[in-house]
Amino acid sequence: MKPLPVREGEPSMKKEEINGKLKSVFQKVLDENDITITREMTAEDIEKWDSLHHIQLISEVERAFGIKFKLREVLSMKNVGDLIDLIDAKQGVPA
Amino acid sequence: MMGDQNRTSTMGTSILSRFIECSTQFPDNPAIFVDDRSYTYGELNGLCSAMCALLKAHDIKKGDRVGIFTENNIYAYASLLGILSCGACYVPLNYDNPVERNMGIIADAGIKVLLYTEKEDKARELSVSPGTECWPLNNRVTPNPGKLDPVDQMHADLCYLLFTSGTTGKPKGVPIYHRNLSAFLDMMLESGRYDFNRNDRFLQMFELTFDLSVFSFLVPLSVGASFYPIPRERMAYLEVADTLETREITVALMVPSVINYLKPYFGEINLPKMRYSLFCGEALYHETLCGWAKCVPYAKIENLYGPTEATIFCLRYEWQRGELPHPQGKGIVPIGRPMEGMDAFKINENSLDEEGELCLNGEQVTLGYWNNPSKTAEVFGTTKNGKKFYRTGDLCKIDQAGNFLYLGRIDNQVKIDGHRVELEEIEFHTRVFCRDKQVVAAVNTSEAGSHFILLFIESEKDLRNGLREHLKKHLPDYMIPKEIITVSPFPLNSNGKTDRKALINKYLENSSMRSVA
Repeated sequence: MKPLPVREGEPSMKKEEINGKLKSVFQKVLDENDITITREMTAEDIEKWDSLHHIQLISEVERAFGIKFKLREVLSMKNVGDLIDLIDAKQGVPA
Repeated sequence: MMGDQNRTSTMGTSILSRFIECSTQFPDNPAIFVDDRSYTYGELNGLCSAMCALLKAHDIKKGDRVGIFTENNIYAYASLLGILSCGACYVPLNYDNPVERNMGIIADAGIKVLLYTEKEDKARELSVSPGTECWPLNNRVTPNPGKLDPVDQMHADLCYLLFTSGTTGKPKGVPIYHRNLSAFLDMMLESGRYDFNRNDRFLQMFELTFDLSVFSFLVPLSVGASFYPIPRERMAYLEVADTLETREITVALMVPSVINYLKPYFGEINLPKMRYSLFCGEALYHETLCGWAKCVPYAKIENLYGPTEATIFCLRYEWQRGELPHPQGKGIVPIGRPMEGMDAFKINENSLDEEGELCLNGEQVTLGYWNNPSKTAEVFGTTKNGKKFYRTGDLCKIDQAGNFLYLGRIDNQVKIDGHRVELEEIEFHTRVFCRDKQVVAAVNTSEAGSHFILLFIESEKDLRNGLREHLKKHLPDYMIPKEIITVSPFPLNSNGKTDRKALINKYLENSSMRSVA
């Protein structure tokens, strides 16, 4: 994969910020207010996180962060940590 | 009751004879790719033969029901074929089902032996059923060098028994007999419609409890091809996308949900090796299919239709690239015409109605439900000419070209990712929990085109606490409502009945307000 360009003067959103925003996406999509997310977390850890919710999560994340994932990227995500890293890498890159 | 279905003639070809022939002709060809390796026809045959010997040694014989705790591994397929070759009937059990549901199925089916490989704890929970033994497989079966030698099968012998959602709160059993499956295989392999061959690689994305799995493993094994089961995970559609590409799948039978899910990525998917892209199990949307067709530029695309009661599928529509949406289809691809050896017709209360209930008759149709004469009498009938037929509960009409169009259900059955769900079954278990409050289960479609279940309870108090857990004890995951809403009172229609549509619309208004806020 090509290295992603980083624009000058537009530093990528800090991981904590991503974390916070991601948490509210999870809470909204899964409709549960007491969700905490960790880097190691996977769909296996949350009952409601099935394929239907997964689609909604992905598209809600894309909307919230103004980014777009490729199929290969979605396929390679193994846990929430991968998702955070991918969001971070894509920040500042036009969707 | 069985009439001529009870003939004692031996069949010309057993449903396994093609597989055995392939194993003899090409023992070194790959048959199945699972657990990160491939197994050849010779190896698979050896394992089946060992399974068959083990079952025979324990006096498993014709007519006996043997349960398989479905795992996605070589033993699941070897035991399934082993069970068939010793003349018995296989009953797949999904270990994601609640224990109570599986116990009910074991009792209803009268399962003698339950085979399992992993998830021993879950199997042990079930072995308390009286009269059912529980056997682990991985350490008991070593390949048998002897050739698989199936016992002679009769048309009327049981082949498999599947359980689907039932309106009374209890799953109902659909027995499929050798004559039914044999007719299906003949139609697929002898009609000259398909040119499957030993270079083909089939996708197998279905749980064994879903009869589309039978197409996906038995057809490849009958022509010397290989098949690729998808690991059972929650994001199965992503695994499917990955397998289609990396394994260069040439024949893929999928539920339309898969391509609904993959829609955002159509531009990135290119599968030039695909020869047959087949769909079954749900309504297939023309627009989605147009997008998908570009991902499979050389594939023949077919929309297939059929309930479990008529063995896998029995109507076919050959979709042509560039064709326009059917003028009467409401965006849904037609389900076409009956396949070779089958007959379809519609019945309506008023003979002038265009729409009617789709009925099926032919060798693929089973005799009736398992241990359920009242349900059987309800939906299996006999025509004036003495032909037996099955009423599908699907509403249809027939266009001028003779193609059947699927219009919906005449009852409250819905499909969730291809799984049949009777909404009454959810309502039944909810009512038990909520002490006979009025409840309505309904299905709704998301923006992405996937379906989910909503459950409404008529109550001023919030009765949801513990309900979800209660439902999980009785229902499989795909039947668990996405949202539970308490409403008081329920809106009524002009007949004084609960207005389901109004309930859903009210919910949608509220939820769109919520997401705007």
